[in-house]
Amino acid sequence: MERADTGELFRAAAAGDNAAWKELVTALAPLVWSIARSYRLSDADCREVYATAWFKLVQNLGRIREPDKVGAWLASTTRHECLKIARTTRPVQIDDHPAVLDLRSPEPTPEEVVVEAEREADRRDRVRALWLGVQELGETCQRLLRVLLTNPPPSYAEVSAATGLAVGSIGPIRQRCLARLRAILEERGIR
Amino acid sequence: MSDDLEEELRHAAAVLDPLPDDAVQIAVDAFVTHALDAELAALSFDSLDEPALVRSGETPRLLTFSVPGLSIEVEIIAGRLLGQLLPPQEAAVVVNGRLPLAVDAFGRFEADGIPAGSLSLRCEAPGRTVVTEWLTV
Repeated sequence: MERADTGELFRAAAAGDNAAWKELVTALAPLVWSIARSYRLSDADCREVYATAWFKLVQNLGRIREPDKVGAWLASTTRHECLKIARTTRPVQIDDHPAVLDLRSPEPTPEEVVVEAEREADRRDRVRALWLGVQELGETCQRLLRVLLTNPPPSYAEVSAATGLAVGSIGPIRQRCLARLRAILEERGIR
Repeated sequence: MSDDLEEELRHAAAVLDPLPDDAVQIAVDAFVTHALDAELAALSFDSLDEPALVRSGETPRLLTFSVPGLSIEVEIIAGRLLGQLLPPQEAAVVVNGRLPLAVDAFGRFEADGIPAGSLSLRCEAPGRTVVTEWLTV
C-alpha cells in the first residue's frame, strides 16, 4: 500500500480542508496506533495516547514549520505521550496483552475469523507463530518491529521519532532483530 | 525461511493487532476543534489531582482551563456538564464540536449527554477564540 503525500495533505488541512484532513488521518493513523502499541500500554492508555496525539496536531496546525515532516512530528508527539503514561503506570505484562491472549483462546476471535477467511488453517498457524516469535524478542526489537511493520510502511525519519533510535542505526538494528527472529522461529521448527 | 518474512509480519500485525474500527473517526473528529487563530486554554485545576477522602462514582469532576483574562470552569457529573466563564462575558461555547451554546448573563452554560472520553470546549467571544487543552473525562 502506497501512502499519500502527507506534506501536501497537511498543508491543505491546515488551510481548513476537511477532506484533506481525513486523508491525512487515514494515511498516518496506523503509524500513531502502532507506536502506542509498541510501548506496551493498556488498551485504554493506547486509545488515550492516540487521541491526544491527533488533538495536539490539530492544536498545532498553524505552527508546524515543516509540513513534509508531519509524520515524524506525530510520531515524536505520540512517543512522548507514551513515555509520560509509562512513567506513571505499570507496563502491561506481555502475557496480559489481549492481542496475545487472543492467540491462545480456544474461541475464535473476530481477528481469527478474518484470518480464517483469508487463509487456510496452517497459514493461520504460521501467522500466529510469527507473531508469538516477535513477542519473544527484546524490548528494543519488539518496539522497532511493531513500528516498522505498520501498513503503509513509515519512513526511517518517522521510525526514528517513534523509537528514539538514530536514523542511521535503524537499518542495522532491523537486520539484527530479523535475524534473531529467524533464529527463534528456526528453533521452533518454523520455516 | 522465506525472504518476505517482513511482509508476512506486516500482515500478521494488521490481522492480529489491527487499528481499532473507530480510530480513524476519533482523529477525524479532532479536526472540528481547531480554529486557526484560537488561543489555547491550559488545564489549571483538575479535581482528580486533588487528594479525596471519599471518592464515589457520583463525585463530580471539576476542571478549570485558563488563559490570561479568561477562566473556563467546568463541572461534569453523570454525563451532564455545567460550565461558567469567568469573568462572565458574552460568548458562545462549543462542546465536543456540537452546536454552539449561548452563555447566560452569569457566563453559565450547560450540556447533557457528555460521554466518557475526550472533552474539548471552544469558546467564541467577541474578538477572541479560546480552545481548551485536550482532556479525557
